[in-house]
Amino acid sequence: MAKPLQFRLGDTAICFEIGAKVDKKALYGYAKRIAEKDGKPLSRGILLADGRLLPTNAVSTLKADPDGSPVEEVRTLIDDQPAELKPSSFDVESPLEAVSMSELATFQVTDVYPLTGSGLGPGLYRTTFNYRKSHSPKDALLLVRSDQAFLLTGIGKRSTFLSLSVAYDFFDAEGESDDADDLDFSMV
Amino acid sequence: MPITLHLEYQGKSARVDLHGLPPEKPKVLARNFTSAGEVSTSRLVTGARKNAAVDFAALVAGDPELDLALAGTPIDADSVTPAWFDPADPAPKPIGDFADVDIVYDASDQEKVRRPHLVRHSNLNELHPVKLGKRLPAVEALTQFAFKQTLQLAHVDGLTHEFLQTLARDLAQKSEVAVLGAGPKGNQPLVIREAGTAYRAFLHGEVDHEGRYRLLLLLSDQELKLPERSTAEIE
Repeated sequence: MAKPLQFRLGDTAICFEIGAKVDKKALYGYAKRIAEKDGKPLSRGILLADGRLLPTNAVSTLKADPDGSPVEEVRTLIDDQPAELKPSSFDVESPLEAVSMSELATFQVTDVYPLTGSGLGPGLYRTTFNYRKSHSPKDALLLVRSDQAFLLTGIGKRSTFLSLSVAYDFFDAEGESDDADDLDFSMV
Repeated sequence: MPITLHLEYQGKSARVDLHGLPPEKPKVLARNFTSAGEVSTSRLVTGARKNAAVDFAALVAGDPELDLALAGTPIDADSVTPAWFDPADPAPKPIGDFADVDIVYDASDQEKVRRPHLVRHSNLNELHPVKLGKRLPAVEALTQFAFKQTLQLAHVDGLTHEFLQTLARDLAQKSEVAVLGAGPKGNQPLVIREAGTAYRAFLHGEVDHEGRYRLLLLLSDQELKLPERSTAEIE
């Protein structure tokens, strides 16, 4: 079911309805990997060190502090500072900033949501998206085409122009250790 | 460590570097605390038999849905291993000689075909170079596909600098993006890493006023469009 999202571009308020996420499964199908023997599908389990076999659904994930399950409210810290819980995008108006289409070349998309609405001309707009209340809203681009609009969430990347000498530290290349000055002849 | 891309352009081929890109914003590291200390995630044995075949009489007589021998035991990822077993076996034991199968479903969740599990191999640095194919207007390509990963091409010496700079200038002057293809015919999707996902690849080039170039490899496995059944519902 479509839910309304409120945006603001300058002095203009714009409303879009967001549809269900579109992934490649919905567009093209998918392949499911299974193990089978003699035509019968097998279940996946966990083999313990003592040889006992547990089905996967016998194991669960639990969040605990050193005393066990948390009794008091859990505090979240980001960079050792108390983190603020940001509201869901469905509860607030999100700002839009018009950007160049070339931003799409350096934006790694994680989710695609179709949008229905009007009031925004064709182009690309930078915003953020928080489906539920969280500490870190995701970066997002709102793409308006003549036939359809999409909300793309993901991660923006930085690139650089390259001259004859390449600044490899820009790409976070691993540092190379200097060779020791002394030759080592213990090559056993 | 950069990846090597064997690329062909205008009848010449060269091996160049492919680099990942740093994020625009630093990664946010969130940690949770109580007065007792940091909250961390653990895997534990629940003690519940979720698939136990039980009936009313068995439930009254005992607790067949519980297996409390290991309940609450933490699971250390370094001391366990995955195993496959027959769920119908009353005394399940690991089975080693099984077939690894892919079941392929279409977009409407209907089974299409079964095949041996497909493992894709990296095809960026093969005997046959990755070739430039069809050209698309840059804006059209950027708005028709969802790019899941972006890598940057970089030269390794003076010759490859000229090779890539010329290619980038060609694309930038025409405001075009080139579709890349691997394999002998240059029409296969690109697989970046061993056992990786296959992507359709596009090359986006720019040159600045100082003559520096930027060539980005855009990888996509999804078009920006609605599923067919959504379109049919709207109509």
